[in-house]
Amino acid sequence: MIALLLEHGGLRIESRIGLGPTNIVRSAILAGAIDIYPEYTGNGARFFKREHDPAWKNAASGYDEVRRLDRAQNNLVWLAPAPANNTWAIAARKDLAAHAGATLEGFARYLAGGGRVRLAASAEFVESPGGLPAFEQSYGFTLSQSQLLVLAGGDTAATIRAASEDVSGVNAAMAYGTDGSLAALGLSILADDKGAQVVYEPAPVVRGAVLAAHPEIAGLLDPAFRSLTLARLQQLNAAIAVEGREARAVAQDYLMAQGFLK
Amino acid sequence: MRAPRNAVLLALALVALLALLGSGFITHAPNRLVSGTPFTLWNAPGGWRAGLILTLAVALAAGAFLTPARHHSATIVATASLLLLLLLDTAGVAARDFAAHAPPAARAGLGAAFWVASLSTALAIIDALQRARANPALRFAVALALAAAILALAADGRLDGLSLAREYDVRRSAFAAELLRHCALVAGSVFPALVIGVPLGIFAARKPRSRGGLFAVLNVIETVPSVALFGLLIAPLAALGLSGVGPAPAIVALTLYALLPVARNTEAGILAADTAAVEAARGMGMTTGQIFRRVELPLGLPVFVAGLRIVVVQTIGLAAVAALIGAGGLGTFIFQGIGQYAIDLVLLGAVPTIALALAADFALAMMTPRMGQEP
Amino acid sequence: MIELEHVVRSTGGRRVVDDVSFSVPAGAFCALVGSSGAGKSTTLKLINRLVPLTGGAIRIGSTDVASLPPEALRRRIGYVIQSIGLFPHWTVAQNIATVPRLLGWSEAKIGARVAELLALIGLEPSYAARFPRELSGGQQQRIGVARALAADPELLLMDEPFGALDPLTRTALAKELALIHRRTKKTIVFVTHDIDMALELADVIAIMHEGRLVQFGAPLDILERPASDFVRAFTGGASLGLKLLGVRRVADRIRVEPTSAGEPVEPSASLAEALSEMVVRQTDRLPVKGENGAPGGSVRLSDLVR
Repeated sequence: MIALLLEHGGLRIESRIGLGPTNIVRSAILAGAIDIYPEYTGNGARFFKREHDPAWKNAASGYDEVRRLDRAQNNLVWLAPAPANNTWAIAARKDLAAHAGATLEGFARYLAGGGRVRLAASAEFVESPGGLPAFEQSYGFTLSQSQLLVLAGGDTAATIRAASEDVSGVNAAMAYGTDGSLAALGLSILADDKGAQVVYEPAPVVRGAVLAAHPEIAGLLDPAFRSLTLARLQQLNAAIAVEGREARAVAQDYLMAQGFLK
Repeated sequence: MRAPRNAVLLALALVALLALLGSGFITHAPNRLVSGTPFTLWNAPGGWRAGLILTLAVALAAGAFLTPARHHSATIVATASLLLLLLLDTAGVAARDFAAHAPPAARAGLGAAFWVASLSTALAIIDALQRARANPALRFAVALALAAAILALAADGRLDGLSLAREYDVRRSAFAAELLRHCALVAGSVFPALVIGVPLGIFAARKPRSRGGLFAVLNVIETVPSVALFGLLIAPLAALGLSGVGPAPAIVALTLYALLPVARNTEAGILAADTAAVEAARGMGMTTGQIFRRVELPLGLPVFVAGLRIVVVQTIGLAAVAALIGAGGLGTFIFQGIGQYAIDLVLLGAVPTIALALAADFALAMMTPRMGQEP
Repeated sequence: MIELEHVVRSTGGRRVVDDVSFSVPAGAFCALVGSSGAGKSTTLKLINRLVPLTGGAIRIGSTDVASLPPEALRRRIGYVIQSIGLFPHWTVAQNIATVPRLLGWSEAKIGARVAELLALIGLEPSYAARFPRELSGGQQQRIGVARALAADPELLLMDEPFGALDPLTRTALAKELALIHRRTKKTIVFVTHDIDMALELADVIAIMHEGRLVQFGAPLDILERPASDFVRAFTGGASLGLKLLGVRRVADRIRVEPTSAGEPVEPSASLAEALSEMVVRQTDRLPVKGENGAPGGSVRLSDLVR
């Protein structure tokens, strides 16, 4: 979307899409090797080593915090975020959701009442204090080893599929807020009403120098990003993951439908 | 009942028959992420096709009892080729039929029966050509004809309904770009490996005392797992000002992997020249250069080209892993597919890689010089 | 035609060839014999400079071998080795044509020469298009000899050429080599550890032991007047008498007298062959063929032991 919008705005783009994971692109922009990329507000906790700051658990305060810090320390500007929280979540299969309800509170109650649960998750989610332990603390439940299926790698496609096809008795999966395949595979996210997780909203991050040279960048990207609600992002992701359409085509169709592209 | 002349063909035909009768030929899934439900051959539409396929398979089994005459081999090749194409076409028709009544997200995939039967049939063709001692030109002609027929089926749109084709359809230009990039990675590694490895091999052949140390080093490099090697290269490359991700480290790693086979086969090629022949050549008054050009090179070339085959095929396979560090190539689809848990996307990367390797192997085998050439 | 003057070859501080001097007349068949490690192969290789000379000089005709570039020297000398060494990727004709090609002969001249040599070694013209791997060991070595003769060299060096062949083939090829020598009149230096083959084929024999030349002379000389106990033991010891019979000719023992009945023997036949015939015919007298139509004589058993 960023590439399409900027090109439409008359800027010449050199695409490095698919460069690598967060630490690679973050080092790249800090080194000035790339000029702009989308980042999650919640990652500010990692970047600035303030993991225990409660500000991150709120969308607005988290955004303000990372915007302030990056501007001051790195001359990086955070543009308008999309109102979609792509944070860690637990998704339940239809039959589990029938018992446990639509929230994590209900899930905790079901567990306490002796309900059968097996969660497929990545090692990072299970061990990182910001992951499963954060949920367990907030909602007062604990999952034993036998109630977990730990998979290598942070890919939710594998965990979601495991839950969907009842692999090894799994009926719940680690997921991300904007995962598009959930509905298609018969899973739904358990709502995190108590806000146990850090908020991760995607926003464009651009080098200060580049924005100064091309101030129109903000105007090109802000309205589009503001339009991307959680539901919309889930739909777009579904088009790619479930229908198998190409990301660029999906992005283009959305932007044109919303009138951001002619 | 006579004993079968060709036990291999009989086994292949029976395996194909069992697979076709027992397991899923086509799978139906509501979307590309969910595993499909298998449907056997006769549940797939087009009844007469199922009958014809089974008849052809039985005919192949019967072919195992024929005498090994050339025209019998020709018949077997023809029958097996027809079966292979029919399997492919039937799968395409079944998929298209399914797609006609299903929502756009639904997918029709190739089932176990298809894969087993197709592989068995392909092996039967290779076996028949082998037994007939077909010369390289004939094998090339058969391979070309089959490839052309399959491409014709695809071009005609008869295979469009298959999930694999759907994945391709969505990312045509990306596929072309990655295919080109994959070939560039292979070429970009094999040539430097030749430039460095051939002199190393010549050195090892001429100075036997050095070969122990040389090959020890190359062996160590070869045993480092590819992903680990990519990781190990990041720091040294950064020190040189190159990026630790992208095509540069991939080419460096692929070249390193290719060095050992190139050096070994160059050495073997040089040593392939019979010492007696070299001794006689020297005694008759050939200069070192003449001995190399007229005796060692022609005798060593077949060995060397055989090694080159191995290097190219190995590099094509390893280049698929290079996608992990952002180097592009067909591996991109493999890893995307793994990440999305869409097996058809994985196949979109894997099948062309295998086909590329087979084509390269075949081409180089054709080019292997035979003994008895002009001096 | 070949002169070795105080030739020395040292390696690793040891004298492998120690002050060897002899001279081979043109057209002669010289056998270089000795046990393993005597230095005979090395001496041979000193002639065509496959091994460099440490001391002394070697002359072919009046040319010092050191005065020419080694490749040019070797192209003027035919070389046959024990392991044969035909080029497996070339046909028989291409193998034979090796040195002529190096010398730049015309295709026509090469073709004619190949045909001529195939006839000389007794192989059909159809062999020209075959490959070495299709031939037996004996046929391969014949091609090896033809290849050595291809450019019509003045000198032929042969290093145990029949060592890798079975005894039957060895004997047959030795006889053929003798014929070729008679027909082409080339100077041949032939290394072997087999004293019997040397006695059979050579005009002059050089016996080497531990790098030194211990005796040099005609076969008869060596048998009748061995220079040392070593030579005596080497040349046959107990079967010396039989070897003498093998070397002496019927022509040396002819009596001019009316011939007896029966198939006459050739005057060039050895006394051993005559003895063998006498045993077979159960007689003590054999008729000998006359030369040029003249009446021959006979040879008696008693003359054999003179």
